[in-house]
Formats: sequence, C-alpha cells, structure tokens
Amino acid sequence: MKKFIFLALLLVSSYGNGQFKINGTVTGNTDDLIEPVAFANILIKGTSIGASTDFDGKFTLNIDKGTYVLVISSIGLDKQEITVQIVDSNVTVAVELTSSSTYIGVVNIVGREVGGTKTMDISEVKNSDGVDAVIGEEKMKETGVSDAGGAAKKVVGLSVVGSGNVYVRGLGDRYNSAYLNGLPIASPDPDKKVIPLDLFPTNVIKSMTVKKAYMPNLEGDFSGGAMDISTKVYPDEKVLKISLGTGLNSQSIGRQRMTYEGGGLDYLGFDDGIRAIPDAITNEDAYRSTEGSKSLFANNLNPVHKSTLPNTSFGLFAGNVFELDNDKNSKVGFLVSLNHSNSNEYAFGKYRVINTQEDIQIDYDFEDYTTSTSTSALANIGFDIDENNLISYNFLYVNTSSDQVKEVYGSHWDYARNVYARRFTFKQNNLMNNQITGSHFLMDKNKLRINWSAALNNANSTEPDRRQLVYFFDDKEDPENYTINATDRIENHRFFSFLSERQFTAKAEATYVFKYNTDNVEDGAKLAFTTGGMIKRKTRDFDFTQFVYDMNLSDNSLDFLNPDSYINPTTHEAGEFSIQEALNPASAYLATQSINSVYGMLDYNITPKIEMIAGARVEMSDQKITCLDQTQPDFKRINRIVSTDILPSLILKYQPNDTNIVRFSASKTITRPGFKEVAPFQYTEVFAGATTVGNPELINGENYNFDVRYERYPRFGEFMAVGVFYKKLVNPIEKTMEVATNQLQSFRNAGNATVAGIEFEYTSSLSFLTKSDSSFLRFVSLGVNGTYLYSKVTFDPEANLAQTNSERALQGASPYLINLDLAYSRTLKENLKVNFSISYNVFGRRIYNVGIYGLGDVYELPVNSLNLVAGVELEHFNFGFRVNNLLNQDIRFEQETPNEPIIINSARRGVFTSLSVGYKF
Amino acid sequence: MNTTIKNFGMLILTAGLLTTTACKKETGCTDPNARNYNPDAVEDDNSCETVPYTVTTTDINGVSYERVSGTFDENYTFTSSKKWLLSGGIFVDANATLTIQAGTEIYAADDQTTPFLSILRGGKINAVGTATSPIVMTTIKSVTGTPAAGDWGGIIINGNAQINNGTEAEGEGGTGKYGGSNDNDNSGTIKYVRVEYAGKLLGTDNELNGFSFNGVGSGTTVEYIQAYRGADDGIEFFGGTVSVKYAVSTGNKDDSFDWTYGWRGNGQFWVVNQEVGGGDRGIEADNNGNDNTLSPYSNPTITNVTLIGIDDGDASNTGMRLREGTKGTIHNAIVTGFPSSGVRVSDAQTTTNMTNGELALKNSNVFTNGTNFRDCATFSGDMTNSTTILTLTGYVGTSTTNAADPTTLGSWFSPGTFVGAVESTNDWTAGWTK
Repeated sequence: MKKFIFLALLLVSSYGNGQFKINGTVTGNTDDLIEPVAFANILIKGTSIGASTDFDGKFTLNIDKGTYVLVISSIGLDKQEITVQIVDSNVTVAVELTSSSTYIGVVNIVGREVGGTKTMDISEVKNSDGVDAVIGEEKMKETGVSDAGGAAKKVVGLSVVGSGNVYVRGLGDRYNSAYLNGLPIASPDPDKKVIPLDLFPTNVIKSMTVKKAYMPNLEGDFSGGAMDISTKVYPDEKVLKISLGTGLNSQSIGRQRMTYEGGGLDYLGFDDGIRAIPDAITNEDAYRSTEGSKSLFANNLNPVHKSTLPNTSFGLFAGNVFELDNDKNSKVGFLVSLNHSNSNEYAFGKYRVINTQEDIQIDYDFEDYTTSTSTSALANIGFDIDENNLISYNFLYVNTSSDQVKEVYGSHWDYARNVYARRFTFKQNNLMNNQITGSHFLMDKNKLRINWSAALNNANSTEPDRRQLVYFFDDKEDPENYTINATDRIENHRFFSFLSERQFTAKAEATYVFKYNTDNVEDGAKLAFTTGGMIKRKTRDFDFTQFVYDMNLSDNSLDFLNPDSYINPTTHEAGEFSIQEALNPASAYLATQSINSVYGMLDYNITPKIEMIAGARVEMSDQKITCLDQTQPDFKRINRIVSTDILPSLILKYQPNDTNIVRFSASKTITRPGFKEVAPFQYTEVFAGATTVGNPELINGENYNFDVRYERYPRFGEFMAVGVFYKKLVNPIEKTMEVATNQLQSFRNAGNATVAGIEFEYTSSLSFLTKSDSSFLRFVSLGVNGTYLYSKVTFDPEANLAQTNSERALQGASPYLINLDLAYSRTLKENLKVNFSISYNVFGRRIYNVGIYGLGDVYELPVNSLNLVAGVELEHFNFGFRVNNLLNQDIRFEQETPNEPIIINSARRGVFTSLSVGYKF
Repeated sequence: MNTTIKNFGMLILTAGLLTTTACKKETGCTDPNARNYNPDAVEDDNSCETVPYTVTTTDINGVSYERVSGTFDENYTFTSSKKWLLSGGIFVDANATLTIQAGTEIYAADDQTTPFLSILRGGKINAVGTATSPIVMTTIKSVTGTPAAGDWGGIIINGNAQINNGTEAEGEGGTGKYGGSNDNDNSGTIKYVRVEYAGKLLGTDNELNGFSFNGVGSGTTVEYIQAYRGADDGIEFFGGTVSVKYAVSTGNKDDSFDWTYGWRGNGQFWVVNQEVGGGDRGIEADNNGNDNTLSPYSNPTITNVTLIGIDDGDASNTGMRLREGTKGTIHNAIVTGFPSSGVRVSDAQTTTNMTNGELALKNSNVFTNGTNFRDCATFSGDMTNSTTILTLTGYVGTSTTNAADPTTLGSWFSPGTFVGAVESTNDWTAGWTK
C-alpha cells in the first residue's frame, strides 16, 4: 500500500528569539481522496508536549528552537514520525497519512490503539460521543493506582465504597455495568452485579473508560456508568520487561502476624485442598457426627503467630510484532504479561450496635490480620490480515485471595460475660476470560465497518472452611479464664461456599457511512448508521453449607489460645462435642439469564457543528432462578422474569469550534433485579449480620437519564468540563429493613428516586504559567475534579417497614467528591526521566446503612486520603516508590439518633509503602 | 456494494427477529410443583392443578408411618391410629384446620429437612390430648436412635393479634407472617401436647423454639404443654394476647420462657426445670430490643410459677431477666438455683416501669441464687417477696405464706393461693410430661 507522504516543510515567518509555533495540517489519503483528519494526536517524541488536530485537521504547537521529532497518530491510521527543525522562525508542516481507516467521529471507534497516555485519555474523551471519562495506564502509574478500583476513584462522579464497589453519581452496584474490551463480564461475587474492580491489577490494563451517558450499544441495565476495561495489546516493537517490588504496611510491620496452619500454596493465592470438606462428609446427606466416632474435620482451630514478611511483587511483560507482508501491512503481534503480588495488612477498630435508647448493646474491638494475593496472566495475539482486517485474541486469568484472621472482643447485651470471637476466613476469587474480536473495514473509502466479538468467561468464588469459635471471658489476658459459648451453637462453626458463573456473549456490529463530514461542508454531511446485536447467556451455580459444633460439656472452660487441645478427635470420641450440618435446602440454586438484543443508531450532522446520535435498543430477556423450597424441599420454586424492553436514547453534540463542545444526552434505561433479590429464600450475607430474603414481587425499575456537559480544550493537554445531570428512577429497587422476628433485609420497588448533580473537571499542564522553559512549572500537570450530588429516594410512609426514614439519600451516595492530582514529570536527559506525583481524594458523608425503629441512618464520615508516587526511569532500569494512605485517617461511621449522632464503628488501615525496580531488556 | 450492506443489515435484523420469536411468551402453568407444570410457559394462565401437600405411607424399621410434606389448604386430621412423619415445614393455611387426635404420635423425619409445624394466620390447630393420652411431637430418632436437642423445628402458631415491631412481621427462617389487629383472634386449641427435641437450625442462623406463639390472639386455648429438651427457647411469645395455663419447660438449652414484641396474655402454673448441658434464663422478658418504648408494651399477668435453675458450667443462668422495656405483673413465683441472678431488671425503660408499678413481682420466694435480686430494689423491698428457702421435691412444692389469690387477677385465672406452680398434693404434670 501507499506509504505515507511527507509533503512539505516550509519556512513562513519569523518571531525573533521567543516562542515559536509549528502550524500543521494532517490529512488522510484513501483511494486518492484526500481529507483532513480531525483529532489526530501530535506528540513531540520524548516529551509530554503535543497537540491534537481540529475538524479541519489543523494543529498548533508552541515551542522553542531546536530539532524535534513529531509523532503523528490517529485512530485507524498508521502512526508516523517526522523531523522538524526550528532555527529562528515558525514552521508550517503538512502531513498526509495513509489510511487504514478514513473517517473519525463515527460511533464506536475501534482499531489498534496502543493508547494509555494522558493526552490520549483527553482526546478519547473529546472524540467520543457520549459523556465519558478515560483513565489510561500512564495516569494510573503516575498516581500510584494499583488496580481498576483505584483508577475508578479518579473519575469525576465516581467513588469506591469498601473494596472495589463503584458508585457512579451516587448510584451503586445495581446501576452500573462492567465490560472487558467491550463485552460484558461476569462477576464472581454472589452479591455483586459488577465484578469487583480491584480484581484487575493495573499491569494488565491499557485504559479504563467510564461511560456515563447511555448509548444503544451498551446493555440496557444501566443508569450510573458502564466501566469498560481495555486490556493491554501487543507493542509496536520487541519488548521484554521484568519488575520486582517490595513494600510494607506501617501497622503490620514489626507485629507478629496472627494466622493458622494453612495450605502449601497459600502464598500463591490458591487453596491446595486442605480446606475442602472431607469426602466422607460430602457423601452424607445431612452430616451429623455421632458420639464415639471420628469428627472427620482436621483439628486446626489454633491460632499461630508468625513474623510479618514484607510484601512482594513480581511482573513480566513480553511482546513482539512480526511483519508478514509489508505491502499489505499484514502482521502478527503478541503480548504476555504475568504478575503476582502479595501483601500483609493489619487493621483494627471498633464495632458497636446501639438502640433507640442509645444503649450500646454491642461494644466490640476488632483486629484483622490479612494476607492477600493477586495473580494475573494476560495474553494478547493480534493478527492483522491486512490493514483493513484485524483479528485479535485475548486471554485473561486473574486470581485473588485473602486469608484473614479476625479477632473480635468486647461486651454484648445478651451475655453476662465479655465475648471473644476468632474467625479464620480464606476467600479465593478467579476469573478466566477468552475473547476473540475482529474489525473489518470494507468497501470504497471503508464505508462499511464491521466489528464482532465473542467471549466465554468463567468466574468463581470460593470461601472454603471459614472457622469460628466464640468464647466468654472476664479477663482477656488470662487464657484460663475463657469458656466457650455453648448456648448459641451457630457461633461455633465451619462454613463453605462456592459460586461459579459462566457467561457467553457474542456481539456483532456494522456501521455504514453514507456521507463523510468532509463530503459537503455546507450541509454538515456526516451520516452514518450503525446496527448490531448481542446475545448473552449467563448461568450461575451457588451453594453453601455450614457445620456447627454442638458442645456437650459440664465445664466449658477452654484455653482460647489452644482450642485444638479441647476440640479434637479424641474428645469427640469421648462425646464432648458433636458436629451437625446446618441445612438450608434452598442454599443450592441455579440461575440463568438470557438476553438477546438488537440496536440501531443514526449518526447525523444536522449542521457542520451539530451532531446527533439517535437510536434505540431492544432487549428481550429471560431470567430464571430455580431452587428447592427453603422449608419444604419436596417442592421446587422458580422465579422467572421475562420482559421485552425498548430503550431509546438521543445524544446531541454541538461543537462551534475546536476548543468548545457542548453535549446533551437523554435516555431511558432499565434496572433488573438481581438473581438473589427475587429468590424466595433467606440467606445471610455477612455472618452475624442481618438475614436477607428475596422478594419475588420485584419488577424492573425504569430510569430516565439526562445530561448536559460543556467541555473546553484550550490547548493540548488542557481540558475542562462542567456538566449537570438529572435522573428520575421509577420503581427503583432498594434494600429495605423488614419487620421480622430477627433482623431481616429484603428488597422493594420504592416509589421513586431522584438523582441530580454537577460535575467539574480540569486537567492541564502548568506550563502556561511560565515563560521560562526551565521552570519547574513547565513539567507539572494538574488534575482536579469535583462532584456535587443530590439524591432522594421515597418509600410509601404507610409501608410496613422497620426502617426509620421513608425519605432519604441513596445508600452510598456522597453529597460531594473531590479528587486532586499534581504530577511532576521531566526528562532530564536522554534515558533519564523522573516523575513525582501527589494525589488527594475525599468523599462526603454518605449513608452506609439505614436505621430502624426510630434510630437514624448510619453514615460513613469523610476520609481524606493522600498518595505519593515517585519514579526514576533509566535506559534499562526503572525505580518506583509509592506511599498510599499517607494520612491514615480513621474510617468512621456515625449513627444519627434522636439526640447527637454517635460514632459506632471505626477502623484504621495503616500506611502502605512500596518500592519497585524494573529492568527493560 | 449496496447489496453487501443490505445483506448484512438483513442478517442482523433477521437475527433480531429470530430472537424475538424465540422469546414469544408461552402461557401455561408455571408452578413447578403442579401436575400440569409446563416448563416452557412464561405466563401463568391459572390452569395449575396444584399439589399443596403430600401424604405417603413409608416404612421405617418395619413400622409404617404417614409421611407428610407441604401445606394443608383444607381440613386434615392426624388420626391416633397411625404414626405421622413430618418432612420439612408443614403449614396449615388460612381457613384450614389441622386436627390431631388424642394420643397421636407425630415424628419429625431425620432427612435433609428441618421439619416443623406452622399454623399460618387464619388457619387453626385442634390438638386436644388428655393426661393419659397426650399428643407427642418428637424426633424419629427417639425410635431409631438417640434423640438430641435440635433434631427438628418445633411448633409455630401465627396469629392476627397485635405486635409492636410493625403491623405484621416475618417469622424466623420463613415460618410465616404474623401479627395484625385482632387481639381476639382464635388459632385453635392445644391441650396436652408435648414437644420434644426441637430447636433445629433453620438455614444458617435461625434456631426454632419448642412452641412459638407469634401474634396469637386471646381466642386461642393453650393448656398443658411441655417443651422438652429443645436446643433453643422452650416457649416463646412474639407479641399477641394468647394465654397459657399449665406449661412445663424442661431442659431447654436457651431460655425456658421468653416473650418480646408486646405480648399481653396471661400465664398460670408455669414450670421451668433447667438441666445440665445448657440453659440460659428461666424467663427472658422483653418489650422490644430495638426501641424499648414501642407500643403495645409487653404486659402479661402471670401467677404460680416455679423456676428451677442449674449451673451448666458458665455460671450465667438467670431466673428472671426483665428488660428492654417490658411491663407485667408476676405473683406467686419461686425462683431458685440460678448461679447468676434470681431476678434481674435491665434497661432504663424497664426500671422506670418497675418504679411506676407497671412492672411488678409480688408474693414470691427468690432464694439460693447467685444474687437473688439484682438491680430491682423495688422487688427486694416488697414485703410480700422473700428470700426464704422453701423445701421442694424437684419443681414440686408450694408455700402459702404471703401468697396471692389468683382469681382476683381476672376470670381467666384458676384458684391457686400458693407460691409456686405445682402443689405436692396435685401434681398436674404427672402422666403426660417427661
């Protein structure tokens, strides 16, 4: 094919010895039709200085004299480099790129994006049609983010509650969705629709895009945000990198770690089978050990103290590309990335329960010793048949584990003596994803584009052999003083759970461009139609079982440091205790979800400055959950929801010039009840927490979403945006506290809910503040964003509910969110680059739990967090230093009461520091 | 060129249409338990021929049992000529009556279920035994092996009387809704019924009681019941107005009697006999733990009570723990043998009730406990109460010193001007209790 043609380099005028300009035009050539290329990226090699082109393909760079290599790239076009020399005057350049794709700005751009730089993030936002945010790998690296959950926090309007639970504009899990390279991804967490984002280490992420405005090519179960994680793709040239790291937590280092005898592969994050239910028990219908027999369970209930080792990490990254046929641009590339890390953490805090009389019913201290691991393997093989036909295969495997010993002790109103509980919890989640995608650019001027993809993914979550014993004590330090709680049998138990979710998705999409936006500038011209379809089949298997210790003693005294001396096969044979399986026939359920969807979108430039994307998606869904009746297992229960939904949406983009964009978006979307939310059985989400029961009466919620956003792109790398949004949620599904003998949670369609807010973001290099090219500010960039949020959900005040407030903010919705990043990055000389950054995050007081019987709601109080990152990059070596959670503030929860709010829970996690070294061959 | 696009468009549209067709709603019976269940049906057309309950004859060790599962939606009788085996939760639906003949043996199956018997609101139980032919509900293991506390669920009566935790409430572990506005509600008659080895775990965190009276109304008759060796509470009241006369709670691992959520019935001739190997409080009396001031308050009138405690190793057993805002009047009680407290009052609202005289303990002997009276000076200072040691044979034995005449408390009460529940001359527990 045609090579790129470098047309001209002309001297135009002179300015004297100040700043010079490079003015340029980028055009593309397909079949001899030459058109300007909008939104092409121009970067001065080895710096972060660059620009992007406007609608007419024009760009300007302000620069001092010298010789520069400009890298010109555009999505779908071949990247090119040109050398520009500035002696004593401005320079004008014209670049013509050959096309592997000739139009830009049509819905759903795909192509081989190496991407990941901050400037790419901005231009992706600019080029997109929806209201998006993009976090690339450079930004993640610069701000010390270690997983996708951390990255999400950086996006305006997003907050992360707990571990990896993303709230988008105050809307929690049920309103969001996750995609991996554009295809929906299953969640291994039985209680979560969105896969916990902390499952994705940054080492495998190229970028994360958050779409906050609905478009018909997204699944209709949406209102907050769609998070699309793009995994890394093969590099442009041969790469081999390894990295090693170490770190520590300020609270765990130097402290003896409380653990227990686990399995041989624990350090890798895998259970080697030691925690499995013994076969002889599995084979019994309802296990109940009898006096005089073996207990069958291993007697490993003893805590063990070990010294805390520093955290470690390891990474390998390799990739290459092979030209097959230079003329056709045919090539094959691959990438392999392997990562493993483990860390130790020690956290402590308080946990209290109060009642309406403000009596502290439960007053516990807790201490958590946690060892967690994360292992990932990513492979990408890309095959460019020619420049118009691209196929790639992605494989991703992620395994995370957390092994925790939790000690809880203090007073409980129902017991005469103090309570001490110790629990061992090992959790392992993993995800395996196989994905194949293809892009084809067909016909004259690539007027027809076809994208297709299919993925099979399998997510598993296991919690094998959680063990807990509960004791009573008067003097905590005296082991002789402890007795076991024999009255509440459930407290002394072993618990096993398993979940497997398999999902197959396939998607095909075709876009046909009737007119390019350059065909006839007068009438706006661009006209493209996209249609596509997706099928999704999801199956989930879940089961859990629990075994309780039935203590049968005259004297319950027991050394809490050595329970195995008491609970062992010998004492079992002597009849001092027995083990009984706690049966829940409904515990095993099978759930399936099948969604077939078709959609169409018309992309039309009403005028050259106004672009409209109008479309609709039709989803036909069938969701079914089957289980045995909880109390009458002779009978089977099925809950099935079948629906067809038509979801229209409209996006208008007004771009008077290349620096200003106004977007408007309106859409209708739905919210489907989760599997367990409609399942007619009770289950316990958190042990000793409230029981939850599904509500078979739930119906789909309907959401009406409106967004207006103004964006300004004053200069390359600088971006500001102000947006407002409004959402009306009809029949929103909300968690409720029901009236029941015990604490019982369920779900209801609340009357309605309103969410509205303002978002602000600003990103810029601070170089505009100085004239001097050696100034510190030239190398500093600033990113700030903030959100103000109002939310209200209203229940029927006459409804028979235990919860106090029939009107409140949405759970997890912070009234404000602020993010601030300051980064210094400078190339001091060839092969010596330094960077330093500081990032700050705070969220406003948000509802954590709703209060019942006259007590107010529980709020999580604002936490200020500060992270520091520093790095040095040499030719082969790079060094990194990172400090997370520098302020180490208490995470506190307060409950509103008829009088003053009371702090009920608090925790402190410690400061995390890490050091890494990498070598690039 | 255009044909390519059209073909592709057609392909996608066809795919769309196909999937639409595949999802066209088929109507039929959607209840998987019905005879004519149609697994492909999406929309129910009310054609279901339901099978709400099943009764099949089964053989265990050469003995024939009628195995019962499901929900009785019509009147049904457990005859004494047969032995009955309960599998899973057995419900008696609204407008149905389950009759259990005197002397009937009912067993809970030892299968993968948690058997229990639950009378739903509007349904009735008519279980009338006699002192010589009581109705016994126990575990099949009492025949096939070694019975143990927690072998099965127990009996749950759900009524329409008022509760204070809401207008209606969900019972433990999916055993039915209870509560309403009819304090005179009638859930039937229970006489001479012994429930043994109840308290099985239902799910992972519900333990069922021997007898649970959930929002049961005063039209219901309950006399001569025994909760024997259950793993949780023996006899528990969740709101309601039902009254209970002649009740024995023996060897239950948690509380022997328990009330909460606004129980306002009467009680007379109650016996608690704790055993080694578990047991918490003789009586645990609450109004509402979440908000001690909710109305209607728990406010029973109880007389002729004998609570015999034991030290089961943790030294924490208490005779009577009155707390969380309960009101009530207790006369003629014996409280003895509890290693912790005999009588203890907790929480500000409860203390206020005591000071106001809305919570009263009178005419009672509290003796030989860890502490006889704790946080209840009003009671210990009451001249009708004493710590005088009485001589008892097990739980049998009474004293007439300072005794009140129960008939002055209301027409429901029987004569019994003595302190304690069982006179040595009239052991009403003989014959039908264990």
